[in-house]
Amino acid sequence: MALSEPPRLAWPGRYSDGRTAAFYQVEARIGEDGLTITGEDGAPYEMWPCDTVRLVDGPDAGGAIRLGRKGGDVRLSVEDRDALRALELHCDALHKGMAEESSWRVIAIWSGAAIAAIAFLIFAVIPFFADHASAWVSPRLEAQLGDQIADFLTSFTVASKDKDHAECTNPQGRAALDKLVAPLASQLSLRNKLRLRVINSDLLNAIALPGDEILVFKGLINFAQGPNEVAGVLGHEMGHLQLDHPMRLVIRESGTAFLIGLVMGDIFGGSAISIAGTGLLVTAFSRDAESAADAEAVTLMSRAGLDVAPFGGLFERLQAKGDADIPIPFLRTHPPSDQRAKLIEAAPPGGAQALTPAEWQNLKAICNPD
Amino acid sequence: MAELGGMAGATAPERVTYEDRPGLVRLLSTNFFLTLITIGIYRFWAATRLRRYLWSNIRIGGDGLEYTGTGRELFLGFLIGLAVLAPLSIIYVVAERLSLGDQVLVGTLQGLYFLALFVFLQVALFRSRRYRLSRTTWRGIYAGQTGSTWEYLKLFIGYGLLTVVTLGLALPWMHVALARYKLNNTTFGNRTMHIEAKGSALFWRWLVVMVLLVAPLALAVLPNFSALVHPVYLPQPKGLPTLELPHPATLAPGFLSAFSLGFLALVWYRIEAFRYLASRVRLGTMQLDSAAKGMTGIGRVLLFSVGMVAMMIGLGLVFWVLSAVAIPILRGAIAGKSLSITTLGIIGIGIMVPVYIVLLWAMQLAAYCWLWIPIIRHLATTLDIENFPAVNEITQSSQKRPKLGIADSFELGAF
Repeated sequence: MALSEPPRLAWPGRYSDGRTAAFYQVEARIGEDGLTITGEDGAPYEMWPCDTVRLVDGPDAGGAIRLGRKGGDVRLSVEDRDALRALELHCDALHKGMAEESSWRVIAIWSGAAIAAIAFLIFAVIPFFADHASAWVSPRLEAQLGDQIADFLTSFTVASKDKDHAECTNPQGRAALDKLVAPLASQLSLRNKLRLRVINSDLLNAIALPGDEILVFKGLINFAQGPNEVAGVLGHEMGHLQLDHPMRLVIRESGTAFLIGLVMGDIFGGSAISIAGTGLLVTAFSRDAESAADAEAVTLMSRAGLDVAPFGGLFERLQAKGDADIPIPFLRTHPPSDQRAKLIEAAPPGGAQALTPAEWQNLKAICNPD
Repeated sequence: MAELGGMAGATAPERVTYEDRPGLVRLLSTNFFLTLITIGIYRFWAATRLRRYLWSNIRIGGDGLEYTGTGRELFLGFLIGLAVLAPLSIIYVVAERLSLGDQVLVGTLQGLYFLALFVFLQVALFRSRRYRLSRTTWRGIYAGQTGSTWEYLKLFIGYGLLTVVTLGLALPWMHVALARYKLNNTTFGNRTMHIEAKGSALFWRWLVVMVLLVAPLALAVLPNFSALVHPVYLPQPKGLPTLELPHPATLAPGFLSAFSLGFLALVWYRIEAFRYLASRVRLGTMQLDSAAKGMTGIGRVLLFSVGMVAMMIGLGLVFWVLSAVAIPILRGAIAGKSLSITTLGIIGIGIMVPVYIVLLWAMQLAAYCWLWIPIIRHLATTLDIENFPAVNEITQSSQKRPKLGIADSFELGAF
């Protein structure tokens, strides 16, 4: 049959009246007014105006289609391949939906409510919890949380060949580190005793954790050109601790991750909770927090009588090395170096070296076997 | 007007048929990728399209089922659920995070939270069944579900406790009691289904599942029992040898065989239970009769597993060949400074992400085409309806069809 030939306008069909589950053999005919359904005896049975005819199913492999009338439960099955073509020519609304749908206005209202609820949580509730965390969490719990994250980060960053020697504890190196830290740490008022671990990994990084814990990676100590550069980094991390940044970040991250999981259909939030524990790995403190930590670092160093000038040098060389080479974005959002340079300029010039050259060599060797 | 269906007298049982319509792969693929690029929002429309497809493939007396639900309805239910649920769950998360480190407190909180979610899940499953049935029609007559969610929940909690106390042995009774409640409240038109079933009929089949699940676990765990049950974070008792957790590798074979054997047995049990329950359902003077076989399900799972393993091996080979070719070239480029580690990392991620997405897509296609749809087809095409002509006496229910409530469509991904 050539395609140009007009489709047949009348076809045999099976009709269900929407009141019982029986069906009747009928003839259906499409015309200008609509679809006329006639019983086998030729008596006109029902007329569906064109704008109410809907395709509810098909065509299937055999070309059969099922039609419905909008607003009713009547159904008409037609097995004629011409029927769909003919109906498409006559009835514009054929492919529209059958159901009385809730309007987009209702959808919009509830979308708004859901977005408002989430925004309220993200911008008000979570920050409130985060900022008042220390009022509810005991120092002991915070320290345990920090330890958990530290253990995870350690297992995650240390190469498998160094697994048995993940933490650097060379006694001479440790003594040098303690000497470096003491004048800075004595100025802090922390809830826990400051804990400091050097991790045997080439990562160019240092990180502040909840519970007043700092992790320094070997790569950073090797990269530093003098003790005061390390002192600057440690002072910066201590600034984060003094200002309670890590705990706030952890709470903010877990809450937000959980909400995102909820929106994406993970109602148990399991995946989000497991990711959130490592929130410190994939997120960074805000620029404001970084600037505040920088200011803390400069204050700590100058009060300890140390030369502040090298503090900026390390960061500048890190930046020159290329931000993208830092696998963990922690150091990446550090404030622009001119801002830090201003801070350093404002600090009293001069000052001592934190360690003697011999002690500095010991610190660099802190990851050697004991 | 001649009525064809209403012939009196005994007739052969009517066999349900399943018609594989073309377009499944395209449907699943567009569903997958649209859900991906809309970070999950499309999933309501995706579920609707899939249901519409599956429903109309199932044919009774020559007429397909029809799913009349819409994605918009599901989306609205989700939004309402989100606006209500999000604030509640966030309180848990923050509380849990604040108490992190205190194992006992975290354990208690988690236990309570997951228990609450589990109970909520049952409510949602019951209500979403109600929603699905109320959007299911055949020859224009609607199905439905009556009964109260609260009664169902009481049954669930009561039998659930019994199952826990009996270490799982009472599960068939729970299973049958819940099925009984659901089926006795399932309507089609003006008729309500009726089922008479007893849990004891499924007991020995369930016992097979439990043995296959528990025996390998017991073999793996018993030699290390003391170390596994003694919480490692508690102080070790003095004077006793230090308890050390067994190496995971020694436990793996036991857990692996428990998982695979148990899973196969579970599929087998579910299909056997379906046959038992379906064969006891009456609708008016019509009687259902199922000949579904659990072993067919096992065959399907094995076939699917072989397919997945073959896919993994093929993919592994491709990677192996690619890396054998690429790694020396990349090494040379890095040594020659023409390629930085950073660029390499970006290229690597640029390759891995699409590969991962394609893998997920292929796995989803395989799961539907080789596992779920064959099982649905098997369940459908082994179902007989005795005294089928009586269906003509069924009339449309005068009851109002439910508008969707909160949990009615807080969809959980099941179809």
